[in-house]
Amino acid sequence: MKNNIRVERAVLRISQQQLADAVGVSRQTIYAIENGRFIPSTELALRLSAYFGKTVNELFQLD
Amino acid sequence: MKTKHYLLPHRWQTAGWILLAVVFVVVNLLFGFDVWSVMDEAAFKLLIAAVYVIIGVSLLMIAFSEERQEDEFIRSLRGRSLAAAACVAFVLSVIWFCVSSINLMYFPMHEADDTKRWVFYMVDNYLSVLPMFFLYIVIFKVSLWINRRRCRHEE
Repeated sequence: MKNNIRVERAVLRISQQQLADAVGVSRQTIYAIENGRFIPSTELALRLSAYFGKTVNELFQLD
Repeated sequence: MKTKHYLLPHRWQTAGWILLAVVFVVVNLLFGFDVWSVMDEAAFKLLIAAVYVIIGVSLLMIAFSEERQEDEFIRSLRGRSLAAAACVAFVLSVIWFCVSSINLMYFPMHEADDTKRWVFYMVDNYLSVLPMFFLYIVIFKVSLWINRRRCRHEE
């Protein structure tokens, strides 16, 4: 699974910690998602998409 | 959406570490002052059993308490660590079963061989569970540490 979290974060110019605080997870979780080592739950994917104002499909794509 | 995770609050982890440290210090003091040699066998066995139970309880408190920031990634690490620990503990218990079977085959227990029987009882009842808790704590804490280290300089 690929994702654009890092790109979207760069667009908004926010740190991993700021994103983690905004969606209520640890910074480790954001780091693991960005590096493709962890696939988030539907709930977290929806929270991320709501935060970035994008659909889940725009943020996450199948390889 | 709330899901039940059956984990103790974070402060139980601190209490577990304190309990483990206290047991460690007390056992070392007992060894240091050679209290074992003046105890009768029944009291000695009772004390060892109590130490095993307290170590088991403290490991349980450490293993199944929430981290400061418990989220779904930490829970996935928890699950993976528990699975790895269960595999290793299973291999250890199979090795113990083979060793004890061979031991009993070649050196059968006599009626008076009470200490040997007691050792087998203790290992069968406690050492099959304690290594799993211990391995789980080690694997989980090491993977947490590795993940913290990895994302330290990433922004």
